[in-house]
Amino acid sequence: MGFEVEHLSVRYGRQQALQDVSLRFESGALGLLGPNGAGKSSLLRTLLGFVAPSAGSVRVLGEPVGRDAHELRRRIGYHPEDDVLIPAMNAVGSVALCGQLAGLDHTDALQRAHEILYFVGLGEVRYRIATTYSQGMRQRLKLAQALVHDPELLILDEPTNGLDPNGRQEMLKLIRDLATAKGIHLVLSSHLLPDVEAVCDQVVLLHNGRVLTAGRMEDLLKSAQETYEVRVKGAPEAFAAALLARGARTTSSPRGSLLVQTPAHGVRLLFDAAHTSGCQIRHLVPARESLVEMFAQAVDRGPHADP
Amino acid sequence: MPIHDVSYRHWQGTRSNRPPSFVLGAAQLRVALRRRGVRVLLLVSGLFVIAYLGILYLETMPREGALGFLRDIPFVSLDGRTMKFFLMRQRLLQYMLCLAAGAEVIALDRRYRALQIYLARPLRVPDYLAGKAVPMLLLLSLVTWVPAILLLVLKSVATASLEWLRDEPHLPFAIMGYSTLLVASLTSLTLAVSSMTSSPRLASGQLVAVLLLPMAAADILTGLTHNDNWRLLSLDSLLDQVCSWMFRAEPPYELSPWAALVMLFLMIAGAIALLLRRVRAVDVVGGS
Repeated sequence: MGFEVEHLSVRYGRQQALQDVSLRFESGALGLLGPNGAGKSSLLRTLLGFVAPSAGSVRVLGEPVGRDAHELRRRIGYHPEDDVLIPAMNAVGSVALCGQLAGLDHTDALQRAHEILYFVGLGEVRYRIATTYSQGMRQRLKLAQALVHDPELLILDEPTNGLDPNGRQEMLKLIRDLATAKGIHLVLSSHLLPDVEAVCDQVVLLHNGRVLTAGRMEDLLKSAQETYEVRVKGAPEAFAAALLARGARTTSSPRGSLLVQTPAHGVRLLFDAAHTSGCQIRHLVPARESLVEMFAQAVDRGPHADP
Repeated sequence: MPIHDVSYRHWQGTRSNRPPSFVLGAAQLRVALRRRGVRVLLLVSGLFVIAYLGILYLETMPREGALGFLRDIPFVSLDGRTMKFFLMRQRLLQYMLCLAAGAEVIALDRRYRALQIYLARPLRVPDYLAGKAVPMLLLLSLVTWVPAILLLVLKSVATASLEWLRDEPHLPFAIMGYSTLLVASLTSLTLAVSSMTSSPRLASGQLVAVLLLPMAAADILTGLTHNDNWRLLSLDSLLDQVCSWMFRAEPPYELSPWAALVMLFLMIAGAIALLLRRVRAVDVVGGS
């Protein structure tokens, strides 16, 4: 199990950062989404054991997070959002030090530092002092430092910040590989919804310290009704009227086609409506709701915890 | 396992139980020893030891013939007075070592936000501070009690006698006691000053100010008021007073050694409290 929080509340003085949050993350990749102040950082702090909850319980990797949270951090890798590095050391030295701090002996840490630096694409520059690295290289170095001790749970806070498009794609590929092929539990906190969509199979939306929605990505993205993007030759108004008569709803898409929300067995209904209205269907694809739209709708709907 | 294989592999080893502060301290020591300034200061300190080995040599030689003139020079003996002189005269060197090896230690970490890396590991704030203190503790020890005790041991071996211990039984305790106080106060003060800024240069400047300004202020205020209690403001004066007291020598100021000792402990406690306030684990995860 990755982590489990039950009725978690976190306060900083009078400020309520998290309120009655219940989540269960078994395995795979979990995306943590929310605007600034939503409570993402507070949740990460609690998972890492830096903040004691004011109410509720937290279990990470099956262990309760309490006074011995620092021991639990041997099994967790954390990639911070900020631009961080260990000064006055080269990449190999700093990654090996991170490994040793997590309990690897000197030889293992050094060998693993070399391996991981190759894995993240810094193999050729691993002997350079880290302060001379570019922003993209520093992001990769942070990932190497988070991975060197082979964590069971990897927490990534905005891992693609400051990366160019190619670097971003490579980083997402590495991360996806870790979660899918290497069996590491992965928590990705990001403002970039496409990143979460590309990597995660589960998602949690936080807003004002509460869970707006949570669940598997594919379930959340699937509309309650089936939606299709349709373009017809003929009279679109007559086609829309025929659809309305059959219980479907239509809206115009920005690209000039019709978005049709249908009850079950919608494709057959579409062809029936086209036949009745004398139109030809020239374009028909299932329309998929994007994470951006889902996020906006969830914020509009308000809190609805569904862990 | 070939390092050219770039795929991710799980690690199969066993985790060691070495204290993380020890690991961090060893890494910090390697970084400190890479600095030329630190190596030069250690070399200069070594020259001091060589000079005192010369004194030891002269002491063990019969003071006759060509060395007969040494008979009337009481200085040529490794006694309590000489050891006090040895420890006190290296004060400037010790301050410079603090500047070279300690002033930037936490400031650099703050500048590059390295705390987020360290404290996200199984490392608590006290472990981190202990690790950061290791290079200073070791380097300052190398220029205080280690050579002093070594000289006493060499003297015992060279003279094949422990007569000095009968004459001055307090000497090893004085060396260890004073050195411990000096190392603890300088280390805690340097780290506290380093933690107050994220600019390494500013940290060095602040440390110079913290060491020198109270000394100047104490000199001026004592001169104006003819009251030695102002010496309590100056770390240098406090160390002088405590050193003389421990070595049973004439104290330089009209000041209770106990008051000086209490003030030193208060300084150390204040520096540690400041460090614990400035280095906080909750800052590891940014944002709200």
